[in-house]
Amino acid sequence: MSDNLIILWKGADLPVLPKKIQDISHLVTYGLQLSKKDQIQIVRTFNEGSYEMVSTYIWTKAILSLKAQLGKMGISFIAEMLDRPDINEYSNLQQAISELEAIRLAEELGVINGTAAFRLRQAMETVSHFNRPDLDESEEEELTEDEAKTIIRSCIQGVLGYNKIEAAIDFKHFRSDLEAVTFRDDSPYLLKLIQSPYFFHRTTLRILLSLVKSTTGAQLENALANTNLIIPLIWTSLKHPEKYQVGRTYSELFADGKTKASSGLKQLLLKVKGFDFVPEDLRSSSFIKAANEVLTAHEGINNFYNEPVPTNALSRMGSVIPIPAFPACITAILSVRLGNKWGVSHAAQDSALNIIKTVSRDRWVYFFNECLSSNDRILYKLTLNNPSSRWMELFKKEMIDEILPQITNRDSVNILKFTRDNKQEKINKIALEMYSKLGYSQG
Amino acid sequence: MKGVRPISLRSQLIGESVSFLGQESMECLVTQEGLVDLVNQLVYYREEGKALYPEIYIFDDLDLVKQVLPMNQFCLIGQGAKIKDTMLKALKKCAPLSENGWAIYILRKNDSFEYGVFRAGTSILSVSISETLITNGNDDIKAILIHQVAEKLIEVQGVKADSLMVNYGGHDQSIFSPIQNLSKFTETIVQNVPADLRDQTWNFFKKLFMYTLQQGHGTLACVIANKRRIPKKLNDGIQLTTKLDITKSIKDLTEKNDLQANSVLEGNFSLISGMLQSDGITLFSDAGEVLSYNVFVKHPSKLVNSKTSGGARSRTFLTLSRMVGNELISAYIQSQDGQIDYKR
Repeated sequence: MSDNLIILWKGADLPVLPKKIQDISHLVTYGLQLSKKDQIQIVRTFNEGSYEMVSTYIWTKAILSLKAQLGKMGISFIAEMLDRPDINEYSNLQQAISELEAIRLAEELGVINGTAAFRLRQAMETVSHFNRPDLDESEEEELTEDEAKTIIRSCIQGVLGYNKIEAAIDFKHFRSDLEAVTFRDDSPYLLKLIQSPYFFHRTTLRILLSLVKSTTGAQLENALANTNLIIPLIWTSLKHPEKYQVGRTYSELFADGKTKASSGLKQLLLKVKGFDFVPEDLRSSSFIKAANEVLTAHEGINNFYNEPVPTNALSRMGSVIPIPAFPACITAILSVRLGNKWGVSHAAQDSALNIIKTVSRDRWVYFFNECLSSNDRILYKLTLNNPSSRWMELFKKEMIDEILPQITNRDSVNILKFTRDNKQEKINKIALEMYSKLGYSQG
Repeated sequence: MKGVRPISLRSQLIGESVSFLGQESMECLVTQEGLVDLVNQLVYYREEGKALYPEIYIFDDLDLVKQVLPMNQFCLIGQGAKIKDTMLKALKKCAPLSENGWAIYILRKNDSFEYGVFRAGTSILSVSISETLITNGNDDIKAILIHQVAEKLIEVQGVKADSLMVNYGGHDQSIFSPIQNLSKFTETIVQNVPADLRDQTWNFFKKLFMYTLQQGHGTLACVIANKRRIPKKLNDGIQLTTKLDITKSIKDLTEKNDLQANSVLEGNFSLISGMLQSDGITLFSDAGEVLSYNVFVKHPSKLVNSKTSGGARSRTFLTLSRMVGNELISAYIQSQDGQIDYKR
């Protein structure tokens, strides 16, 4: 994120850890959430050379703690923030959201800052990779001392070094003001919001939708008034996945009989002429649920083993994906196809390719115009070497030439051109720029 | 020689209809005539001896209405020239289809009318069509609703204009629609329901009482405070061993969103509707529960000996009204002819 941007909230500062700590027993003392017993076990296991074991242990501690802290904000709030209609009060948050989702959300809400998020993502990928049961038992395939030390440091600095972690103070104020007062159109919040990067727009939209769904009385009145004031200001900059989220919320409120809330969103949709984004039925919700199951498997431990079942299930749901569910489905399928920096789930590839084959040219045009530039998951993959190399194999030159004239998004045009011309490094570079433009840290 | 003085409501109705359409920005010579004829037709609307209570919507932009009503079903029945006879034909052809949530629509096109039936939503809980298009309507979606709200009482509602309440009965005119009384009484049934479920529970009870109203059946009901014991005076009836907790059924449906939960709620709907159509009083708590039905109350001697104009049901209502503020929160009466009164 560039420094000259005015932003609504920013992530907490990292706890100060000396840059150079050679001794692991010294490092663990900064882990305020680690009990004395934990610290002793970590040091002993590390000194015994069981680097996978100690890394997995501390990683699990960190991610469980992060998810638990996010859970305190309310399950329905988390579900809305992740655009996960499949998560409800019955869901176990620890299982329902992936590790990557937890890190991303923590970064978006300012629970952790961008650098911590970047380090945690790296730690997650390393732990995931070395937990693969199919890795050879040769020494080359084992986690090294340095890698283990980096993971321990990232976990402490990102999560376990705080007594408790919580959303940024200015984020909390902003969220509570959205339900406590009705903003005026000259509010400084609005001026800041308009100038902020995309993820602030997306997060604000999702907070408002969460409030409209969950509040009653005066809070609901304020939330609806703010929704009708704020969303029209950012509507043209919102991408289709977010617009569909508004339409789907209206549809759900209507079906659930929430008269006042649905009436308020109807007013908004009339104002922005957004009724094209209201799904005709709730079929798209089933597709979104299936897509999220793929993503949860893909972003969890043992992903290569866990991806085939939900991917097959998604492919069996039929070749015509309803348009409101297309952004979630294409993200899931591309994630499986592009894999991560360590490889792909081979058993899930046939199903993924079958779905990709059914995606029409029009849908690809739609993807490049409306979905890719705000899709942090796919953009992040395109910054990595292996996934971006698999991306190059996805699109034939003729297909790119055919759709290029219809692509209006400049960054997407460049990505397509670099793909056609086999310029992988340029793809990595522009994907990183696009990822950063959204508001995420480059690390 | 004595002459004949013809009395006709028609000219007055046409005048009101012109002004109503003007306020709704839906002026049209054919509609203003057709509206009056539809109102006249609805008063005694029966098919094969069965009274029907269709809701008729007139609108101009079908695509927008379809977008505003999620999960809708539209069934085109016919079309014809833009004359009032086509509007009447729409009623004739569609009225038998307008049960179980289906309503009639008449779409005004440049030089023709298109008509059919439509519905929206997924369950009893869903926001009703009238609330979406009329009560909480918007200027951008032009729509008019014509329906019989009680026997011989026809209401014409729009988004902006005052509603027209056309009374063909011998009762005094009231400035309130009986539905307002129904609405206010059902508010007391849900006043102690958790705030996040109150809207939906209220929708459920409004639909339930409307359904009973349209069955042309009289009913008596009252509400006591949640967790309070049933007053002794109301012990003569069928007390449910397990009270019917509608709020819980609604919570289940919104959280699980499955067929079983929907079926339980629909089951409760028909069960309570049967109770409301039984003799006696149906007793609710203010937390959205049914506690007992078929309840009879002894009338105080003062009432028995007094010269009240009503029958037994009216006397019971008067008895219940005297208990309001003490043992009861509210009392409700709906007579067979659709007159509704409530006391809180």
